[in-house]
Formats: sequence, structure tokens, C-alpha cells
Amino acid sequence: MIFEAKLIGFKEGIKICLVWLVLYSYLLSKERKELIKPFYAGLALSAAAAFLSLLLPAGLISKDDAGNIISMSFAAFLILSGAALYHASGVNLFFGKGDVRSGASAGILVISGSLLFFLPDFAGSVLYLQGLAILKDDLLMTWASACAGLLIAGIVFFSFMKFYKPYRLGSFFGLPQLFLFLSMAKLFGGGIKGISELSLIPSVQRGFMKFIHDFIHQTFVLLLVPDHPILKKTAWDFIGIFFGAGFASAVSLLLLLSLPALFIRHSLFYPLPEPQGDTNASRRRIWALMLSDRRKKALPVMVFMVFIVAAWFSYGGEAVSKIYKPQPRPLAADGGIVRIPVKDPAGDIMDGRLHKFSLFHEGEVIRIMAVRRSDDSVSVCLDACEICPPDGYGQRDDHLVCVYCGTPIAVDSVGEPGGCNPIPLSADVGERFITIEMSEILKKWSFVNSVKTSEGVK
Amino acid sequence: MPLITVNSIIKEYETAHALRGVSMEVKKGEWVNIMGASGSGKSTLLNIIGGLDSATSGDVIIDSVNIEKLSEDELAVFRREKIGIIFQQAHLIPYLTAVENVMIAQYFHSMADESEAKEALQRVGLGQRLSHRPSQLSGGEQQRICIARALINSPELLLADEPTGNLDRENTKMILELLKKLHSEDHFTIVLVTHDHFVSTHGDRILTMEDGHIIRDEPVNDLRS
Amino acid sequence: MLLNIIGRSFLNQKKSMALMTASIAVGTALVASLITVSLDVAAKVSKELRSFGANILVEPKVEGLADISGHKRYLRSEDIAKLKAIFWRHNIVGIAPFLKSDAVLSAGGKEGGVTLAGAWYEKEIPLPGEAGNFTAGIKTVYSWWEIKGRWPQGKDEIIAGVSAATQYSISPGDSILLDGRRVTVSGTLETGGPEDGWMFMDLAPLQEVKGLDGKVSRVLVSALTTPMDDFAYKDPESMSISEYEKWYCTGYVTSIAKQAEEVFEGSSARPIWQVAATEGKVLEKISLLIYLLCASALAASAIGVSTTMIMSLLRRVEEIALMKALGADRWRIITLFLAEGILIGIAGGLFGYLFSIGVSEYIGLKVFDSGLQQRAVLLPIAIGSAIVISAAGTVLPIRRALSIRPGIILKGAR
Repeated sequence: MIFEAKLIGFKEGIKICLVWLVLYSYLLSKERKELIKPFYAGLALSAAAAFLSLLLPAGLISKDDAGNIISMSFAAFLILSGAALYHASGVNLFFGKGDVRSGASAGILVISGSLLFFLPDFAGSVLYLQGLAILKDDLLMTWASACAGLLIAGIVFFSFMKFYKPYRLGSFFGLPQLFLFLSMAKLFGGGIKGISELSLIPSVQRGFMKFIHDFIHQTFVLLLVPDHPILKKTAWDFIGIFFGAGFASAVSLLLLLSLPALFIRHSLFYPLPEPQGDTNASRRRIWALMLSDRRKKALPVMVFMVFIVAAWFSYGGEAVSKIYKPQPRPLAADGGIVRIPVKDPAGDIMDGRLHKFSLFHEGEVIRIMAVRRSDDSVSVCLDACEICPPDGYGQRDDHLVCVYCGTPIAVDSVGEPGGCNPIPLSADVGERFITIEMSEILKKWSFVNSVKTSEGVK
Repeated sequence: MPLITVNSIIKEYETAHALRGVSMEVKKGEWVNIMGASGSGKSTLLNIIGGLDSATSGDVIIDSVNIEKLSEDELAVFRREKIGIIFQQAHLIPYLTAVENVMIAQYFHSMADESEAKEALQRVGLGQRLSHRPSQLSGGEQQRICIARALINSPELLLADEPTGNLDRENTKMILELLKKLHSEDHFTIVLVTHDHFVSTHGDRILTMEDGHIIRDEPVNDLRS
Repeated sequence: MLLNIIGRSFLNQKKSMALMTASIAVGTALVASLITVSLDVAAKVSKELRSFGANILVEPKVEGLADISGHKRYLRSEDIAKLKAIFWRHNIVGIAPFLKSDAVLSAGGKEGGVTLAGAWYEKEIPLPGEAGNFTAGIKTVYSWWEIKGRWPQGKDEIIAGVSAATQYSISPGDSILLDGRRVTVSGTLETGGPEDGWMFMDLAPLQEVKGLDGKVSRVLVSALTTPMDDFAYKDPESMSISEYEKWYCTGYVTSIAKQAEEVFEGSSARPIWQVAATEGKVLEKISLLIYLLCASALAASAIGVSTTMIMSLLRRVEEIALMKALGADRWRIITLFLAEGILIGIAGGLFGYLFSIGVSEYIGLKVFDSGLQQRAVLLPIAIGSAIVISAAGTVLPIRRALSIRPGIILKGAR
């Protein structure tokens, strides 16, 4: 049995069971039990479509694309739940005066909802399993393991349900809470990259943080920080706080928590209608019922908030210590010689960060990197080593990292051959320019592992 | 359809029979007194009607619900919705003020509402003593809090178990006046247990119990004449 | 209203409330201080083997009975330079050899046994088969070690660990006798680990004095490594071709250790977390004892709450009966007692935590001769466990309360 495949199968199984349980309880409490059938239909359709996606030409959808689509469906459910909340607070958003209680339209909504929920996850998992099967050289075992995981999840769930049927869950969920639950299920169980990324949190975190980073950047660019040297330095030192990982992480957490917080506010503080009743006692009773219903519906939201905060901090490190991968800047050979400016508006090689350059040669892209060592010398290498597929290097903390295998490389050893180090280029480092012979580049390029990048190996 | 129908109930304690097949009916809006010597089973009958105790066999149907068939929590709901009880002792919680002692009944019914509780105390003439502790109040005043508490949730049925047993004549009269007002103006159904003949001259009917049986059922007027 | 009732009833029975809070506080204090102590013991043990700095330990391989009975084996110091010739040579950023021996120290009228370690402080070593040098020694591995005074120069100067220095009242500049030889203390060293009790001198003279030329007893290696993931624990034998390719190109600490082992004759090289894990086995046994102690302390607290609450319940039977008569369902009664229990738990946990600071400080001073690090993390843990315990203590009282028959109580109380 292949553990990773079993895990993915198990995770999908548990997700299906949980969603079924909450949806069924919700429908029971609304006395619309029959709507579970379109849910089954949507589930089956999603599974079928996911398997059909195997027939698509390889590489059309990459794992990253699938991840993005799942993130989008997470966002979709989050937005839906916000809209449902808004709707519930009296503004009829969805269907004007119309009602979705008629059988057919409700059925179609449930089908499309479950397609929206399951299809991206299933497709992503299928894609992951397919990749895994190739890596393991064992197609049958991979799929058998995944099915076994699914089966285990089913058995666990059914034996639980035999023992205890928690259909009273339904009283904790209104439509907004249901959508919020679905988006949370995505958030905590939507990752498809195997063990290393079971949940979406790291990528949602990254997405949010990038958004905030860009937002702040744009704001400050718009504000046009004055160009006086002293003012500029202090201003940017101050602005730097807002670019810090801690700040972005905190703000993005607040952003993510804002919707649940709105739920809580709605549940606990939104004014209740004045109850009708003959006596004070009966009015009090109606009020108490309304209040307890509200508090019940606030409970799952609070649980979600606790989960989000806990998960955010337990994943916090990953998104923060991500690898810095600079965009390569284009270069051109001029008379058999390549010249890299040491300092120009686009970058300063002596700044201690990694710099990358790209060179087009006979339809291939050759990447070159340069970095300053602690003795202020500059080492120039190909952005590839002899062993790994040429995914190149990134920078983390004070060392370089091989993007493919994650091996850290001490910056001071860059420029020496061997090990996992990048292939060094003999270059002439001058005051203003670094010059490299084109022939040297081409000679060393021929050592680079001839397989394509890891994305293409699949 | 009578509000209360008691159908041949038997109550056995470990050592003795308290009720040996009692049947009775109380119509809506009626005031029934139950009399008898101590140990005749009158308080047991009242407790069973109020859902505070359960019969060994037999049915008690109140407002077309057989309360002998209810679960413990359903019985709690029944008590808070339908029944107001006044005891011989006021049974006030000593560390809560007068208003809070009324509010606690609201809390267990649904939710507390202070202004409503204050109003209820004003109605029984305790508007000046809202924030006194039970220990600072006289027996009659305590009993009036007890009545306000019993009435706060608009019950269908008011049960009173020797409500004047610990009171002097002055206070007894005051309590009885209060009950009379409730009976005539608000049409409360009242079942009252007493062994005091003066008390039993109020109301519509008197049931007399002896040794676990009802031995007499007569209108109050007859007794007076 | 609920809080009102509880608050008033607290004030009404201050004595039993105080008793329950104290019972919880004592239990939590004991648990919190035990946790503080055990965490600190673990921290103190693993400090020597901290993962930053050195992460690979090379030691002579232990073989056969002779080793166990005390026969000592050594590594060859000539093998050290070969570390810079392995595939992962660029990833090795620090190397520190040690030769541990025992010596008799006499200073300031005191005499006693002490661990004397020979080491390189900072030494240039020629790269094998290449031009140039690389730097090895303590400074490349333990850059955070703090020296008061200066590093020794020449063979007649040593540094003393700070706790050994305190014990023998040595300060930088003093002259002491080591195994009868007169040496000068050039500085004192503070590491926060067991090295604080050692003396250090240059490796070569110690080898010479002890007659162990070219021998070292352990080599600590600091390497840049890929973090261990699930893949790293796999057996290369069972890998598919593409997996093997990836594994081969990945600088896990295990694979670097394997290569280091091949370089040193008769050695066993282990990642330090593995060594720490072995040490951890011993700690685990102690931890088990601590857990048992904690469990019994907490159980005692729960029983304390339970009995006190039942006592107070007996006084409040009439009150509970009245609440039931007024229509309180089971849930309301449970809430009442549970809320009381939770409030007691919060108060008890808070007091217990504050109390534990004193207790663990005392234990630390008595047992380890040093204060323990107080962890704020323990506050939520203390309060959380206190709440759980005190809530558990309310189970029996709640059952009692639920079984109260209102009819009989309210009638009988005359």
C-alpha cells in the first residue's frame, strides 16, 4: 500500500462524509430531506468528471492550477456565506421576491453547489494521484491505495453513525453557516499536494499576504514617498514594518476572521424582532427561543474561528520563510561576450541577494545567477547543477536553496564545483561589469542535466 | 372538558399507601380546597397534580396532557409553563433579593426581565421592598413574594399547599384576599390544600380526604349554611 | 441571571468555595511546577546536543565487551580534513574535534577531579587535494559560546568553564595546577551546557601529555542540511528510479552523517537528534513518573472538588428542589453546577500557576542549583487543565442534584 495515496483517499472520504452529515442534518431541520438526492447526483457527477479529466492531454492543468481552482472555490463559498448572511439580515439578495423552495430550482442549486464543492477537489486529487503513480511506477497500487483510504473513511464514518446519529447538528446551521462550513471544509481539507499540504492554509496565507504586500506597495507608490535621501531612509524604515512577514500575516488573519466575526456580531447583537404574544410570559418565551437559536448558530462560527487562528499559527512559519526566487533579467551576448552590469537601476549585485539573468540561445533559455559572498567577491554560476533537473536555486535566510531538492547551499561555497552546488562559470568581475565568455557558458551548459524541468518530467 | 382530570391514582411509598385510588376533576376557573388531617394524602395529591411527584399508577390529565407519561425534562417544561405553586414555607433563596427571587422563576421559564418582576411585586403590595433579602421580610411578605413568583409566568393552574400554615390571622386574611382577587378578576384555577376551616370557606368546592381516599366532595356554600 | 445566581451563591458559601479553589490550586501548582521542571531537565540535557551549531556527532564505534568494560577507543585526527572531500563538502560549515580526559585540578587550596578537554579554538587546515585552507574548531561550531577574558594562546594557557571556575574560585589570569603542571587561565567560558564544568586546552599539547598522539574522542560537525521530511526516512533500497534520483540529490542530515562515518576509521556518526532521542529514552521514563504524579495530583483535586461540592449541595437541596419546582430542566441544573465548577477552575488555575512559579523556583534551586525558566505558555495550560479537573469534579454533585425529588423535599422541610 502506498501511504500518500491512502491518505489522500482517506481525506477525501472524510470530507465527503462530513459534508453529507452537515448537509443532511441541515435539510432535516428544514424538512427538505428529499434534497439530499441532488447532492448525491452532484457528488457522482464530480467524481465522473474528475476521472474524465484524466483524458485531457497531460500538462494542460498543472497541480498549481488545480490548487488555484480549489482556492477559488474556497473563496466562492466564503463569499456565498457572506451573501447568505446579508440576505438573512433582511436584504433579499438572491432571487428578488422569488423563493427557491420549489423542487426543481432547489435541486439544481444543490447539484451545482456540490459540483462547485467537489469537482475541484476531486480533480486535484486525481491529478496528484496520477503524478504519484508515475513517481512510484505503480499505477494499480496507487489507485488501490487511494480506494482503500476512501473505504476506511467510509467504514469509520458508518460505524460512528451506527453508534450515534448527530442529526441535531442541523439546529446549529442556517444557510450562511452551511456555506461557511463548506468553505472551512475547503480551507482545512482542500490541499492536494499530499502530506506536505493537506490543507489550503499555506496557500491561502500566501495569497492573502501577497495581496496585502501588493496593496501596501501600491499605496506607498501612489503616495510618492519624497526622494530626499534622509527622509527616504526613515520613511522606508517605517514603511518596512508594513512589509514584514509578521504584519502581513496578522493583517491577513484579521481579514480572514472578519467574516466569521460579522457572523458573531449578527448572531449576538443584531436586534431581534419584537415578539408577539398574549402575556408577558409567552413573549419572554418566544424571545428566549429566538436568542437560543441565535446562540446555537453562533457556536459553529466560533469553533471555526478558533480553528482558523490555531491553524494560522501552526502553519505560520511555512508561509513566512518561503524561498526568495528573483525574476531573471534578460541578457544578450554581444560578440561572443556576455556583460552583466554590477549596479544598474534594476538591481545591485553587491546587495547580498541572489540575482538571476536569462540568456536566449538557439531556442533554449540559459539562466545565470550571481551572488556576493561574505568576502565581497562575486560568484557567477549557471542557475542549475549537474544532478537535479534545472529548476535552479532560491535564497532563504543567509543561504541558497536548491528549488528541486531543497538542499541548502552555503553562500560562501557558491562558485566551487561539486556537491549540490551550482555549476560555476569563470567570469571576470570588474568595477562596473561582469564579463563572461559565451563559449564558457555553452561549454558548462552542456553539463546540465538534460531532462526537462521537474514540472515537465511528470 | 375539565382542566384537571385525576383518574384513580395510587401512590405507594416504601412503607405506606399515601393515595389509594383517587379520582377527581377540576374545571377551568374553579377554586377547589382539599381538606383533611395530616397524613390523609392531600399534599401528595397536590404534588402529583403539580408534576412534582409521580403516581405509582393512574392518570393525571391536565389541559389534555397525561403528565404521568412525560419524561423528566418534559415535566419540567410542563411545570414552568402551566403551574404556579405556593408552599407553606415561602422557599425563597436566601441570598437573592425579593426581585431576584421572582426573576429566577422567569429565568427558568425563559429569560429574566427585571421590570416585569418589579411590576409583579408591586401588584402584591411589595413595591417598597424590592431589594430586601428574605430574612429582612416578615412571613406574610415572604409569602406574597412567593405568590408573585408563582404568577409571573402566567400559569394555567395555581397550586397552594397550606399557604397560610405559618401565618397569623392578619396575614392569612391578606393572602386569602389576594387569592380571591386572582380567582374572581383573573379567573385563575386554584387548588388549595389546607386543614384550616377558615381558609376553606373561600373558594367554590371542598374535597375532604381521609386515609388516601376522597370521602366528601361538596360546594363551599353548603358548608357555610 | 445565571451569573447573578452563581455570584451570590459564591458569596453565600465562601468557605467551601475557598476550599475548592484551594484544592484545584494545589493540584495545578504541583502539575505546573512538575511540567516546568521536566521541560527544563529536557532542555538542560539536550543543550549539549543543541541542533543549531553542531548537528552531527562522530564518535568511535562501540564494539564488543571490551568497550563496555571501559577500554577506550579513539578517532584519528588526520581523518578530519577528509570531511572536506566528501560529496557534501560544501555543506559542512563547521568541524570541532574534542579529546576528553580526566585531570586533577588544584587551585586556591582546593583540589579535585575535573574533565579536561582538548580542542581546537579556531584552526586553519589545508583542504585535501585543493589549494587553500578551511577553518575548523570550536568557533565554527559553537559561535555563541561566551568567553570572559580571551581565548588561550600557546600550550600553557587554558580556559575554565564558568561553573568549574566558580567552584575553585578561578578568575582569568590566575595560575593553577592541572595534573601537577602549572598553567594559566586565560578566560572563563559560559555555554549554558555541561561544558561549563570542564577545562579546555589546545588539542595537540593534551594529546602529547596523555600520550594519545593523533587521537580525538569525538568530532562535532555542523552541516547545512535539507529538513528531514517523510521522504528522508525511506529506505533507498525500496525506491523507484525517480525517487532514488531525488534522494541522491538531497542533503539530508542522515546522508551527510553516513558519508562522515565513511571518512573516519572505526567511527559511528549520528545526527544529533538521534543521539538526543536516545537520551530522551531515559527522560521518557522519568516523564512517565512525572505524568503519574500529575495524574494523581489532579485526581486528588477533582475528588476534593467533588466532595466539597457534594457537601455544599446537601446544604442547598431545598434550593435545587425549588428550582426544579419552578421548572428548571436538567440542562439548567447542569449549567448551574458546571458554571460554578468552571469559575472555580479558572480561579484555581490562576492561583495554582502563580503558586507553581515559587514551587518550581524552589525545586530548581534545590535540585539543579539554578533557577528554572518560567514559561508563560503554562498559564493557559494550567487554567485549561484546572477547568477540566474541576468540571470533572462536578460530575458526581450534578448526578446528585439531578436525582433530587422536589415534591418530598419541599413538603418535608417544615
